[in-house]
Amino acid sequence: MTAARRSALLAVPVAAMTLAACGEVTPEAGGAEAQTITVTDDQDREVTIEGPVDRAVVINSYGNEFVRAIGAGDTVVGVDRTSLDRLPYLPVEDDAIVAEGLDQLNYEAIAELDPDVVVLPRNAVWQEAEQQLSGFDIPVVVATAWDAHAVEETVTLLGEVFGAQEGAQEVLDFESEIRSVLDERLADVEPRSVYLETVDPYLTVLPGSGFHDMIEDAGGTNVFADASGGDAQEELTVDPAEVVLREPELVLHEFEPSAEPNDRFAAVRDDLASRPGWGGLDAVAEDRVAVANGWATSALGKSIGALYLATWLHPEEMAGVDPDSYLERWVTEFQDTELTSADDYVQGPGA
Amino acid sequence: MSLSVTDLTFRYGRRQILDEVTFDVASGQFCALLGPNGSGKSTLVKAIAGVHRPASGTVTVDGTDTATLGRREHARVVGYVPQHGDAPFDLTVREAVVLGRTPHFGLAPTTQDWAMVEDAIERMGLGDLAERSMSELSGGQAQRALIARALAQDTRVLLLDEPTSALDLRYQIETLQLVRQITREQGISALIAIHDLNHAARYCDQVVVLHGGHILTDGTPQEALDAPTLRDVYEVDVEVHLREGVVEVRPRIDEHGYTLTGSQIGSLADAHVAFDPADEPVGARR
Amino acid sequence: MTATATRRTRPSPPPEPAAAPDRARRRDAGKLLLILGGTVLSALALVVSVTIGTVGIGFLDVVEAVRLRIFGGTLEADFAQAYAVITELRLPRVLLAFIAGAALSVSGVLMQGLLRNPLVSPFTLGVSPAAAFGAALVITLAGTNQLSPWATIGGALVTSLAVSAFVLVLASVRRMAVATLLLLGIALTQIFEALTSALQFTASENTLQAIVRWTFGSVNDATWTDVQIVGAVVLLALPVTLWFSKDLNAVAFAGDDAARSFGVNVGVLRVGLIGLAVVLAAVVVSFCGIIGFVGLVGPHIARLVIGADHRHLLPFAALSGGLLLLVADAVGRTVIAPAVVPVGIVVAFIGGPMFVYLILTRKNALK
Repeated sequence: MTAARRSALLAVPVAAMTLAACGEVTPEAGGAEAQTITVTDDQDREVTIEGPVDRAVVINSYGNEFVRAIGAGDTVVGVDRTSLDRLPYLPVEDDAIVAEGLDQLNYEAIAELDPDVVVLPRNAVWQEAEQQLSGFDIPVVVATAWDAHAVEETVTLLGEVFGAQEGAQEVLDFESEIRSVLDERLADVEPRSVYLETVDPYLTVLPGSGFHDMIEDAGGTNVFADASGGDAQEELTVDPAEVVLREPELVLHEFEPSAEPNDRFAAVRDDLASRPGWGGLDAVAEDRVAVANGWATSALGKSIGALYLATWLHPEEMAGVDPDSYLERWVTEFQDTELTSADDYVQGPGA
Repeated sequence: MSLSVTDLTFRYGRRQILDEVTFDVASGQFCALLGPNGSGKSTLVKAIAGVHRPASGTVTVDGTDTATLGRREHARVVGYVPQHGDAPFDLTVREAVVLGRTPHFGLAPTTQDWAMVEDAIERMGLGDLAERSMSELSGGQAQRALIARALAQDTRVLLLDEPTSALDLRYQIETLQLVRQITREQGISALIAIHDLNHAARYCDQVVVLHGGHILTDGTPQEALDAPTLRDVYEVDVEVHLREGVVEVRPRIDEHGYTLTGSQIGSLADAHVAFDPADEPVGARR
Repeated sequence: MTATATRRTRPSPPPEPAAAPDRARRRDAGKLLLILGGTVLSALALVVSVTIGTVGIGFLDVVEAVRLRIFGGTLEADFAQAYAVITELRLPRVLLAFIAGAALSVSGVLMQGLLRNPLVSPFTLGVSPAAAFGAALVITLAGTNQLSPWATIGGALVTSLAVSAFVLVLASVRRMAVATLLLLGIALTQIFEALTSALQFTASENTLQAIVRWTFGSVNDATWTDVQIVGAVVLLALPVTLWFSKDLNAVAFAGDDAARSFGVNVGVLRVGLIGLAVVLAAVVVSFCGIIGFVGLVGPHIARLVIGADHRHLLPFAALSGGLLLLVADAVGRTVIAPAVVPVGIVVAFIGGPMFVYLILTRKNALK
């Protein structure tokens, strides 16, 4: 072993020690006593928050809708860009953006906003966020507002987190009002078949998804109820021929949520009508095609969507129920923003 | 006796490439290793160089069995020049030559290593090209750099595996003369695998003819190069002449300018006896 | 042990004019100086990139935070936020970016040298995609994204080592040309990317984001533990590679046969160092996800600056790869701030065109 080689090996422990070097740091005492809120979140984590929460970072547009619905919208100081794109009425500017979507959160931007809590859905990088924000004592709550099965839990959880139990109860009351209308009117109806696709052509929904439940809640049957192999959201891109073979009585296409009215309806309808083989579909030929903006139909755990779908499937049983008025209440009372016209968001059959 | 190979046997799997090869190359001697493609020349060179491990047999250098040497010690005793040295990376002549010092230094070359490198570069006439990139050199220059590398390795035995095959005539001759000169000056034993019989005859002190893994003849060019052996080995109808003390091998042509090769030789072998000894060239004796 | 028997007849080395060797030594010293300069530049770049980000932090803040972190002291209340940003977020991430870049670049140098081809990298041989698949498989089988990091690292290591063993054994058994090896690597890359996609497709929503995280490189989740583990691996590996750098030179520049004739144990060297290269790449992938091109472009930049001699190339490639990733991460943090672009995406924008340039300029690279 030459001297040069020996000294090369010596470099290892020296460098390793440098890397591990760490001094004792005593933080200066400070800060007042605060009330603490302890909640159990979507992932069964017990989270303690120093309340009352008056600054919150909320990731995901559905989460933001709920926080706003329970009356805590004014506490939001940071969001993801997708939320702000979808919900321009959120009371924050571009400088409150802390991420593009559900990952690559900018933790130092979050830290600088100094929130009392960060709220994330379960498909966001919440473990990472918890770990990176632990140094700043910022608690992370997992609340999955897009999960239509967990509306009650999520709203209740957010109510606790934001100290807005009353607001949360109002949201839940509104939802159960809608559910009871559906239950009452559709008790004995003959289910009618529905093909529902979201966002992309032939991307349909399977049992386990909120959309599937929305169809059943509206007195319909999902033509792909027997399919399996969906992704994490229980959504599946299906063979175009299968859609034609299964002859749905109604076709519903829901595109991405956007509170800003957009004029995609005609284009979507043209695309649906011009798909190969769809000319022979009765639903298309007889114009039983609905197109909707997810901001309206997926709102409040898709209960508003179920209401719309029910009126299209069972107009007689649903006579006298105006889903537009429920949408308007959701938007004006719970989202605290203007609704230009329900037609800008939902266009049912024959529209 | 400097390089001594005894009963060297080598196999690739079950295929026997070398069969009990035995020969010696004395110090200061330049030995040519001849034989057709597939005769085992390259394998023999690599087996002596320590690139391949022989199945049995011994190689000794100055009386030391090289099998008892460690890798590095072996590399300080036996040097090897491959057919060509295509480096996929750009390096200078000096960087290429210092590779020959690999078995001599530890982590970095010492002043003495660099001195040996400069010496080898100078002796191969590459002094002006030392900083040049290897990829800019001509074929002959690149070959000289490889030999300089082996010189820098400073070994008792120098092995060359067809170093002249890709060179034009001038560089072939220059390379052979350089190796011969080094061999004599430094008293090392050089063994060169080579195709050109006449170059071997002219520039080497000793010729070993290898065929099918066996040694057929071993001696001075005059002793080793005889027409019947060469006909058998190369399957070409050749004649061997002695001119001005140097053996010359030429293909024999008939009146149509045609040389018998391959299986055509068989008929010739029978006819051979009928030749008038007076017509037989001097070198073609048995 | 038998030196007596092989004593030279010629007298000691020639009394050479001292000028030429001196020149060689000076050049060696010059290269050491380059490495030293690169180290200083890297240290500066590390500090500067700590100051880059959403929260305004100055050079002196960084120095103060590092001083506190190493020597301890009282943290003033108005510095607490900056201190936490520096020590909890920025330092781990810039260090991880730098170390990961260094590891990938050294891994690339080793693979390129041992396979004697400048277009080889952990990514082109399918090692990185295999590592990502291994991690994804472990996550899927466990059905949770709350695994101990060792489980995913183990998964990444096992699959990438297995794949490289498979590639190299196949290459030596079938006596493959490097071009064939590269094609095999491309095929394996596709296969493992497809397998990872298949896992994603069937993943539950809990595991999905954990899997997706592996498919693009990111240091957004860097922690001190990550820095320590990857750093320890690099610090252990670098001296080992330097130790064998002259043997690596022999194989890379002279070929297997000549290297053997120089006394290099080529088989053991190749298996050992490629194993090391794979470990380096796999460890990085298991902490940061797939970061392409650094293993290819880092060595190339270093070779342009300091030459091909591995004694200098290895440490310098570590610096160039580290700097490349450090800069890419700084760009990723600023280009659409406050949102963050993953470093793997940024580096692909830099590395992709460089790779194309490399292919177009090296006509005989695929021999």
